[in-house]
Amino acid sequence: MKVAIVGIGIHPFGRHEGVSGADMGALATRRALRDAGVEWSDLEFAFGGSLGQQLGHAGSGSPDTLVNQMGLTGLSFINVMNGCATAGSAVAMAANSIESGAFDLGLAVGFDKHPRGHFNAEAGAVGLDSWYGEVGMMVTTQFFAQKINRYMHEFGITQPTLAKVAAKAFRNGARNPNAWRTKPWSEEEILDSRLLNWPLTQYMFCSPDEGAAALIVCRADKAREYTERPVYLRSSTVTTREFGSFEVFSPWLPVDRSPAPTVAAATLAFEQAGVEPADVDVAQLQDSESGAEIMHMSECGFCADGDQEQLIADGETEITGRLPVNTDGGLIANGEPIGASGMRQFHEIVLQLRGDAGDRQVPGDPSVGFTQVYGAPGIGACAVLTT
Amino acid sequence: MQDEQLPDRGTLWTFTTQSFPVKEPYIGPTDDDFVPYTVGYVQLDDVVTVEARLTEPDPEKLRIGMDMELVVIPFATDDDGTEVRTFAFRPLADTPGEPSS
Repeated sequence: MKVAIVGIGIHPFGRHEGVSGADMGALATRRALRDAGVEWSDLEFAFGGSLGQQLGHAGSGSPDTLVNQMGLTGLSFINVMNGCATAGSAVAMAANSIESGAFDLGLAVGFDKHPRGHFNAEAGAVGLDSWYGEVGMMVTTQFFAQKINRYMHEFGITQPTLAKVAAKAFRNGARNPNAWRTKPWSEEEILDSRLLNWPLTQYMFCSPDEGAAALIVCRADKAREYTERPVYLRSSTVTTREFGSFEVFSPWLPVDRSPAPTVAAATLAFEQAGVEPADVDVAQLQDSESGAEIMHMSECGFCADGDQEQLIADGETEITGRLPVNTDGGLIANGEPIGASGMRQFHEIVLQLRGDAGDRQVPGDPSVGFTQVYGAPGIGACAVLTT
Repeated sequence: MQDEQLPDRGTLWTFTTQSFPVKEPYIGPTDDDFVPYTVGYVQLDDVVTVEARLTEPDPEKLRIGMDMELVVIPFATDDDGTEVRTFAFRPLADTPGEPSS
């Protein structure tokens, strides 16, 4: 793939009363434009991700309403909604638009403004009958808990390791001025917090919140017109579930399991990029909760199933470790404004590869980064980035 | 399309608790009246694995691999006072299963 990221912008994640989702998206976009040294009127296209409108969240808004604030220039603007993989999907579409030769310069932006509390899905919206929600099973957190509970049983991951992952997220978030949760919590405090869905406690989960992030993308051969430090997007993939993978909102499963959609998305992303998982210097993985980060490490090919217990005990996923994961605090410290969340991962990887990540900079001049999001009802989106 | 009679017994493949009050579309008691419950996936022989409410609310008493049996339980009351029931699974006695972790 011959696509470069030449500008990044972010609106802090958290709670922002009186600020609409589109307001946040516009701020992130202006910051990304300034970073790239281009004007809104220079952009030929945009892919905007936001799920709040589909979920009925007031104040989130449709992504293309951004043009009202940014300028009615007539550019191509396409709204993207693809579950929690919305941002990864928007980036993939933007990258493909350039790769196809249709456009040279454009925007991938994501924003959302969710109310407090767990995401409240409509059974009909995901092809299920209403009884599934009525009996109390249409709760995404139950899926996360059941997936990691089974994984712990099969591969010997322990509950204290779940707490270690969350403690790392809060430590990294404390070094990130754009994060929502900036207070470090001890592993003991995390384990002792309220049980939400066994074996997961409150502080092991991310929460829906508000925020925005934006990327300016262009043809790789034109990148140096905009910046001296382009970051190249080597691949950006989106896959859906195969029959037999254990996914959210599954009233039933066949007896034989097949791999999660992230496995295919990551395999394809590495193949297309010509990069091995061992080459990755910094990774941003979907940590809807601690268990997801652990399972996504192996689903993306960074380790064998079960090796996470020792890797995490050894600090290998810390900023100073062999494979730093979620250096900006991930979803656990930043919350999940869905459309913005995956875009934040790209923002962080670009900062890290530029060497601009400040207090949380991965040492040793990282040159290869990786992002992964997972969405309901079984979508994986992965990307490989290099200097 | 043809009907297939499913086994009414199976083994627990995974489970979790619902320890915080659930919003709509859940029709059971919520907010201050919420009663925590458990859910799980039960593998019915080699036929299919189904998700269901479980009767045992204590996760410490549930073990992946334990034998389960189909039951029908009340879990909500309609506006007109009608009891609403659902299928669920209860652990069979004397089958400790394997430790979950």
